[in-house]
Parts: sequence; structure tokens; C-alpha cells
Amino acid sequence: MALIDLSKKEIHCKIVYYGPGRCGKTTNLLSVHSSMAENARGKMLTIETKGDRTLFFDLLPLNLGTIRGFNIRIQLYTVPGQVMYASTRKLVLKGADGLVFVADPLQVRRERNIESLEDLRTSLLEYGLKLDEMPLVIQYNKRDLVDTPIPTLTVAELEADLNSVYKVKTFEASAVTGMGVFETLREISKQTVRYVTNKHLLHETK
Amino acid sequence: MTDTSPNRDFHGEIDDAIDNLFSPHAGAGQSTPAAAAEDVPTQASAAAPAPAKAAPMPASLLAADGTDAFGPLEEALLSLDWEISADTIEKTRSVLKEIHGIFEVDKAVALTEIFALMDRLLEAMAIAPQSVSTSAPKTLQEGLQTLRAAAGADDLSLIEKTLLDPTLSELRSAIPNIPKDYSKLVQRDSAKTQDVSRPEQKTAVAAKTAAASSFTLVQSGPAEEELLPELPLASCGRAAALLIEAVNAHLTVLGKCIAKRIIPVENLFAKTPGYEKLHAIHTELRERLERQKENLIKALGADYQADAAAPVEPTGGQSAKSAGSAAVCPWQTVALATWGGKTVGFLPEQIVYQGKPARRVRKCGPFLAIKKLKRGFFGKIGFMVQGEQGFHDEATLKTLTIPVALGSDAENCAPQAGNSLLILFKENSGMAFWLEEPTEQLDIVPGYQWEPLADPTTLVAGNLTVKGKTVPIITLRSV
Repeated sequence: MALIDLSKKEIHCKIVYYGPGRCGKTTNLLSVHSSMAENARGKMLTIETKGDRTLFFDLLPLNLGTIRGFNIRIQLYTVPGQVMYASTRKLVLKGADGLVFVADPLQVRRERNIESLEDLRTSLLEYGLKLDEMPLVIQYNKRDLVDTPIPTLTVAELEADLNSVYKVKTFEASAVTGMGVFETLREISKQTVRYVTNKHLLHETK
Repeated sequence: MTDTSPNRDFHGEIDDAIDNLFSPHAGAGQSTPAAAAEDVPTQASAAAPAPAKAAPMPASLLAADGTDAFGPLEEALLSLDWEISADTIEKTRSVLKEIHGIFEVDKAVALTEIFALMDRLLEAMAIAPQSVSTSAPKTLQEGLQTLRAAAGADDLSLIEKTLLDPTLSELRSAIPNIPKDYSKLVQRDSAKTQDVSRPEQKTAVAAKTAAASSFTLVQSGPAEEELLPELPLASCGRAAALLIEAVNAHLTVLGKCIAKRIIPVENLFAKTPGYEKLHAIHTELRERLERQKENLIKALGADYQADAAAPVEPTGGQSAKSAGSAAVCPWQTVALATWGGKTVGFLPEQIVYQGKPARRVRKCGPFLAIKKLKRGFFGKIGFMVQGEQGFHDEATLKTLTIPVALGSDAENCAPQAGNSLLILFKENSGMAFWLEEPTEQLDIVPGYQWEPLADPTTLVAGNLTVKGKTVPIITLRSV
């Protein structure tokens, strides 16, 4: 859930990049981090805590500036994609306001994409959230591989696998080159801030 | 999520701000994510070893078709990085064993620990993947880079400081401590390993491998005594001598670690209120290490160099055994009370409230809202509580709700008419108790016996025996 501090007039939105292992979630964040102006971005952190469980995620805070007196901040998170880190993934997902599902276009990862999206849906349900009611954008990453001999899925195949139910906006991207990264981020940021303000704030500012 | 007209301007402003901020490549520097990763302080990048110098690979480490013999390991590790599964782990372990076998004898011996640690990390991934850090595949890849560099190096001492030591330390820290069941699995596996390895002892390298894998198992758990007599130490010539030397050195380090690191911290925890759980964990850790040390000494037999691993007495006059069984009570005073028909003790520093509250508080049920303690319309909760809770502001106190402890019979927690309320609070967690008798202070004197409990599922930190009567001490522990 977004943190809204009315006394300080601050809104913090949490956007989580979700997807199967090695689909390019962290690369997305690194791409954003490297291209953003320094005054708008915070320090990118990779957090690892050892103890009863392993917690691992990347965090990139961004500052949207002040709008109508509200200082709006966005925090981008990634989750560990590997299947085995289900509990950690669920933990990072807690309180998410917006989601980017990063899909891996490799043929061999087709099942993993579908599993990961299903995992996202069920994890959200456990927090009482429905995926189709949350801001969601799907990114088809690694499109730079399409012209290589590596077998990849077509956009139509990816759409059929991942977007036939939710019918959300999708973006073709290549996180390593930066293509499509900002387009994805821009869309999810708009959706998320609207979602958060509609849900928590506008009725109070009217 | 569509705009309604009153909100359009506000949303329009948000959209403009986002468009301005997230225009592609708005940043000053145009760098690729890979380049950006360099200035991100990740654990992996910080500890990454220097890239291996392109040294010519010895003929023994080239496959029949002239390709690099590390290729299969690299493939296996990349698969593992992609997805940790039983198949990929098994494949990686077998490839790792093959590679160890093709190294020259001297190098194989010198690199034994790296191979053993990589294997242990893989084993831990197979047994308890959740306990392994997500950076483990990366650590294994660093191990591979080190092995490559070692294969190409004429003299291993040249890369010892820059590559070998950092890699060893990375691998050691990546291996999780998997208790109990792990040792059984390792034992089962060890039987297989030893059966396989025995016929191979004809060559020095194979003998070394067998000894190394046994050595690894010795380190890994407390239940390995029966394995130790089977160590083929005496019959392996030079390799065995090196191993004996390594084990003796290990014993020295282990002894120093116990004396200089574990025991002082254990003593500190013993004296610090609120750290009783950590104290119990440290005591268990020390005892396990001491058992391992004894096992190794027993296995070495006549080869054990007592001067190399001089026995170290625990500091503070506390013997190794006494720390566990007749431990010193960590507190000087406890507050005794009758709760649920039993005498129990509480820590005075954790008591933030005690007394007979208003009647409405008695109807609180299983949860007590702290704001109910407030007296009168203008009364402040802050005046009612003391200690740690007293530092919270009034607004926070109003929101706090804590559970009410059920007695051992777990019946209705509704208090009797004469019962007084006691609230414990520590680090944002609290618990309320309805006491049958108010608390009485008890000073701990040396004659009282203290037995710590490490069970995380109960609030009982341990049992204090006072004049033959056992009193459980209830504390709120750090989460």
C-alpha cells in the first residue's frame, strides 16, 4: 500500500518488477538508474538479508517532484525470479501499488513466463489483491534477440500466453540497450500514481 | 482508472511530470546497464575477483577436441544461474568432480578446498535451497573464474592473495548453516562417496579427492564420528601429509576462533539482559565446534600436533561445559508473580504497567488496546505507562494493541475480580498478563540455578531454580 503522509505532503508509490528468473528485471532498473538525472533518482540498492530466510531485491527510489504541494516519490523494486524464492518474492510484493511483468521471449522460457504470471496472481490474492484490479503493464523484454539465431517467441505468442486475460498495455523492450524501458516505466508510473491518488487522496483534496 | 472531470487537472499534472521525468535517455550520461552496474554497490560486484588473466591452458585441461575443459562447468553454472533445480545441481557436481580429477596433482591438492566448498554449496542448494543466498550461483561462477586462473597460472602463490583467498572467503560465507537433518543427508551421501572413492586411491590425485571429500564431510555436521576412522590418511603419501598439516592448521584456527571470538561474545550475551536467546545459540554453536574439534583430533590420532592447536581455556573463568549446563542467570533481579496458578518471573525492565485498571479493561478479551488504560477524558496514556513504552507519543500509544497471555490451561483469559494487570513491552512488541498476585522483587544470588531455554516458540527464556522451586522467567525477546 502506498505511504501517504498528509502532514509532510508526501506520496510514496511502490512499483514491483516481476517475472521469471533472468528475464531482465534488474537490468531494467539499471537502465533506468543509468539514464535518470541524478537529482531525480536515489541510490540503487541491492538488499540481501541473511537469517531465517533470504531476502533479496533491488530498490531504486525516484522523485517525481512536487505536484499540487505533494511530493511524489516512486520506488522501483525487483523480486528474485527463481522459482525457489517464492516466499521472498511474496514478501517484496507486499504493499505493491503497481506491477510490471517482465516476460522472457526465449522459447525455452515460455512455461516459466506463464508460471511466473500465475505465481504473481496467487501471491497477490493472498494479500487480498486482484491482479486485474491493479495497475499492470507487461514488458516483452530481450527483443534484440529476435534477429539472432536464438529461438524466441513472437509477440503474438507472448500476447496469447500472457495477455489474453488481462489485456493490459504491453511494451516491446530491450533492457540491455534501453529500448522500451522508459516507455514501460512511464506507463506504469502514470497508472500507479493515478491509482494511488484515486484510491487514497482525491476525495480528501476535493 | 479513467479520469473524472474534477480530477483531470491533477492527473494531467501528474502525467506531465512523469513525461518530463521519464523521457527516454533523459540522463546526462548515456551508459548501458552493464556499465551502470559497476557503480552499484552490490555484494557480488564488490567482491568479484579480478578477471582471470588469459594464460595458456595446460594440455591436460584441454578436451580431446582442443576446447576448454571448463566449458561444461561454465554451461552447468549458467544453467544453475538460470534455474536452480536438482538436475542442474547434480550435473554441476559431477562436472566439478571431473575437473578436479584432471588437474595436476600439486594444483589439485592446493585447490582442494575450493572444490570442496563449491561442492558443499551445491549440496546445500540441493538440500535446503531456501537457505542459500540468491548470490550463490554468482559465487560459484567466481569459483570457476578462480579455477580457470589457477589452471593457467605457473605458480599458485602468485594468485593466492588476489584470487584464491577472496574466492575461498566468498564461498565460505555463501554456505549456509544447515542444522540437524543436513548431517543425516551428508552421512548418507558420504557412504556413497567413500565407496566410490576407495578403488580410485591408486593414484595420488584420486586419493587426494577421496580424502578431501571426507574432510569436507567432517566439517559439515556433528554426526560424523563413524566416518572419521575411515579416513585414508596413513596410506596416501604426500597428499595425506599435506592434508594432516591442513587439518592441524585448521584445528589451530578453530581453537583460536572458539577462544577469541565465540566465548567472549557468549559471555557478553550471558551478561546482557534480553540476549538470552542469542546466548543459547552461541553456547550451542561453541559446543558443536568443540565436538568437531574433538572429532578431528580423534581422527588424526598420533598425527595430531598438540602444540599447533593448543587447547584454549574459555575466558572469564567459565569452563566450556559450565557455560551450557550451569549458566549464570543474565539478570540481577526478577519480578516474581503468580500467573495461571504458577509462580513465574518477569524482567522489571520490561514491565511498563502494573496495577488494577478500570473495569472496562477487564472486558478486553484476548487483545488489549493500550488506550483503554487512559483514565478520565483528559487523561494521558503516557502517564499510565513507564519504561520503553513511555517513550512513545500519545498518538502512537492510542493505536497500540497487544495480546493478552493465556494461562497454561488456555481457558478464557477474562480476569477475576482481584486480578491485577501487568504489561511487558520491548521493541514494539508487548504482552499483557492478568496476575493473581502482584509482583515481588527477587534479587538473584549465586546459589540460584539458571537453565536457559532456546525454544523460540515460547516466551520462557529459561528456568530459575530458587530453593528447589523452578520458576519460569518470561521475557519478550528481540524478534
